[in-house]
Amino acid sequence: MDEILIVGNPNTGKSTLFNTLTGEKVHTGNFHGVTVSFTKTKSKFTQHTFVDLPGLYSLSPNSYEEKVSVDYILSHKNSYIICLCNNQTLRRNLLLAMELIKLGRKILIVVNEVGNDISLDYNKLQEKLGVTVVNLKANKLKSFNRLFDVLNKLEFTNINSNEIDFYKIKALCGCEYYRKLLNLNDSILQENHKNLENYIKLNYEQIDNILTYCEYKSKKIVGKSKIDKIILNKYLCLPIFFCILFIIFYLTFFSVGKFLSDNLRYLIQNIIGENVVNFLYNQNVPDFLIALTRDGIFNGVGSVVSFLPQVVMLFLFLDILEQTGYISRLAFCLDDTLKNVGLSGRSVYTLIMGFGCSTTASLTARNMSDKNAKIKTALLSPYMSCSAKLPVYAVIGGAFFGAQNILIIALIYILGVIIALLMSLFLEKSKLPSNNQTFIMEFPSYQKVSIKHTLSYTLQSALSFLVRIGSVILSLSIVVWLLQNISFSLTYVKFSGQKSILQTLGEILAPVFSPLGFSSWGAVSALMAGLVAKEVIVSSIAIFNGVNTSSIAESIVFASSAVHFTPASAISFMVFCLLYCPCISTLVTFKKELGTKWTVFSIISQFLIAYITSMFTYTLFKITELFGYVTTVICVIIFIILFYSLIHCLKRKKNCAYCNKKCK
Amino acid sequence: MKNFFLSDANLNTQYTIASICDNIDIKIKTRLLEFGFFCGQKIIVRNKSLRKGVLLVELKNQMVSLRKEEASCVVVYG
Repeated sequence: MDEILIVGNPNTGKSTLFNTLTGEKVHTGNFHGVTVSFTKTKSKFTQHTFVDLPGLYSLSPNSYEEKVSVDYILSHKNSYIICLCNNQTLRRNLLLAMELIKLGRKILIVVNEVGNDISLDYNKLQEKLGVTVVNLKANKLKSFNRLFDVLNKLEFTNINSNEIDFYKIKALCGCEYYRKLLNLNDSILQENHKNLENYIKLNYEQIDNILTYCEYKSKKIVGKSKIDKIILNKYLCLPIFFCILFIIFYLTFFSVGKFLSDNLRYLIQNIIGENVVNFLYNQNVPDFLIALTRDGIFNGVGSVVSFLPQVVMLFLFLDILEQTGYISRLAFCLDDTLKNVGLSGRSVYTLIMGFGCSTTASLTARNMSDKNAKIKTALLSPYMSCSAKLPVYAVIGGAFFGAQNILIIALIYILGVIIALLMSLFLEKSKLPSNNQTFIMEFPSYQKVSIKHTLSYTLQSALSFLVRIGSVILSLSIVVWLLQNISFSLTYVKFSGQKSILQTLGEILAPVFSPLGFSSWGAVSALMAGLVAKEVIVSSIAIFNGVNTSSIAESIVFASSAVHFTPASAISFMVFCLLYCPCISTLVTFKKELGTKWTVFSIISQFLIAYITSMFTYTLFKITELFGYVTTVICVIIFIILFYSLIHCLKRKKNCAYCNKKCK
Repeated sequence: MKNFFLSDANLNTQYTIASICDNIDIKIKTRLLEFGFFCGQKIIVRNKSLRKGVLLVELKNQMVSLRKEEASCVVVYG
C-alpha cells in the first residue's frame, strides 16, 4: 500500500535517489536509458516501499522502457509519485510533472540540485504548482531531512480521479498507447498533429509562466563544454575513441592487470593450493578426493579466479566511461555509421556494455525506440567479447604470441565488432528493417568520476564474478572433472584404463571441428562446457591437461596434451570462442526479451558464423605458412571483392522512414 | 525572411523555429515537441557529425542531438 514511485525524465538521478533512500546498489550512469526495468525495495529510513522506474519524457511512451513506466504508473493509482526533476533541465522535466498533476495523481516534486549556478524560489514553485516541492542532492543523504519530514506525513488514501478524460486528450494528440486503451480507430483522429502541437505548447507556456514567477535563472547550457571541440571534432572523434580503447586494453591485459593477475595466480597456486593439498595428504584423504580438490577445484576454478583483477579493471573502465558522459558523445559520433547498418547511436551503450557482460547488455537494448532495432541490438551484444572470454585469450594467446598478444586480442575485439555490424546489416536488409528510429537525445554535461560510486560498482562486479565462480564455475568444474575421470561403466579411469565419458563424447564430435584446426577431444569438450559459462573453457583446459593455473599456457603447446594447439589452431579456437553460442544466462534473457524464435536464431546463427569465421581464419593462417604473405593478401582481396558484391546485391532502395510520403 | 529546414542551417547562427512539418511520424513529432522544438523557440546548430548525419543543437539552455532526417522536419528562419 505505502508505495512511492520514483518517476522523471531520463538522466535526472532517479536511480541515485533510489539508492540513497533504500541503500540498494542499482546501476546508475550518465547516459539516457541506463534503467530499463523497475526495481522495488523497502526504504532504510522510512516505512515506505520505493519503486525505481525507467525514465520518460511524458506519459506518451515511445520505447519499451518508457512503456514499462507508463504501465506501472497507470496501474498503481493509489501510489504516491515522486517526480524527480534536475534543476538544470527543470523546464523540460516539469512537462512530465504537469501531466502527472493533470492525471490527478498524488505527487511530490523533488528537485535534484545538480547545478550550483541556478537560482529558483522553491516556495513560489510550490505555490504555483499546488504540490509539495522538495530540493535536495540525490547522492547526499544529509540533504534528505526535508524529504523525510514530508514522506512521514504522507497519507495513503484511495483516489477516485476519472482518468478517462486525460486518456482522451492523449488519444486526440495521436498517442497510439491511449488509442489502444480506449479502443479508438485512426479515422477519428485526423487533427492529431495540430492537437499535439497545441497541447504541448500550452503546457510549455504554463511552465514558462511558472518559472518566470519563480525567478528561475540558469546560465549554464547543459551538455555544452569546451572539451567537445576536440572530442566531437569530425576528424579526431574516432582516433580519440580508439586511443581510449587501446589504453583500456593495455592497462587491463598487460601492465597493471597482468601484474595483479600473476600475483593472484601465485597466491592461489603456491600458497593456498599447495597447503590445502598437503593438509589433505596428511589427513589420509582418499586419492580420488585429493585429485578432485587439486585438479577440479584449484586448477580448474583457480585458473578463472586469477583473472579477477583483469575482469574488475574492465568493469572499472566501463563505469568511468559511463559516468563521465563520454558515451553520449560516442553515440553522436557513431550514429552516422551505425545508421547505415540499421542501428542507432543509442545502440552504442548496449554494445559497449557487451564488453562487460552480454546478459546485462542485452537488457539495455530496451531503450531503443524501434522494436526491430531493439531485437537487432540485443542479438548483437554477444558478438562483443564479454569479460568471461578474457581468460581464453590471455591463456591461449599468451602461450603462442607472448608480448604480441595485445595486438591479437585487439584484433579479436575488432573482429567481434565487424561481425556484429555485418550481422546487423544482414538483419536490416532481410528480417528486421528499421522503421521509425529516433536519435533525439539530450546531451548530458561532463561529470567528475565519483570515486565512491566507481569503487562500489567495481566491488559489486568483483563480488558477482566471485559468486558466479563459487556457484556455477565451481560446480561445473567438478562436473567436468567427474566426467573426465569416470567412464560410461562408472569406473575411475585412472584404475580401469577405460576412456572417460567426456573423452568418448569429445572424440565423437571432434571430426566436426577438424576443418577449424582443433580436433582434439579436450578442445571440443571445453567448448561444450563453455556453453553454460564461458569462464569454464579455461578451467576445463586446466582439468583436461592436469596442470596448475600457471602451467596451462605451457601445456597446450605439447601435442601429447588432451588440449593442444598450433599457432593457427589457437587463433581459430579464440575466434570460435568469441563468436559461438552465447552463455545460458544470455539465452534466458533473450528468451524473455525477444522470444523463442530469436533465441533459436541466435544459437544457430552464432554457431554457423563462428564455424565459418574460424575456418576462414585457420585457412588464412595455413596459406600464410605454406605460400607466404603475398598469396594471403591476394586471397583476402579476392574475398573482400566477392563479399562486397554480395553486400551490394543485398542493398535495396526503400522509402524514407521519417515521413509518410516519398522524400528527397 | 526566408524559411528553410534546420538540417540546412549554418553552424553557430541563431535561428527561430517556424514550424514542425506534419508529414512526419507522430511519435517523432511528439519527441521533438517534448524537447521544446516548437514555433518561436530560438535554436543554434553547434556541431555536425563526421558525415553530417547528426546535428547537435542548442535549444533552451540544453544541447540536444538529432538526426538530419529529424532536423529536416523542423522549419526555421533567421
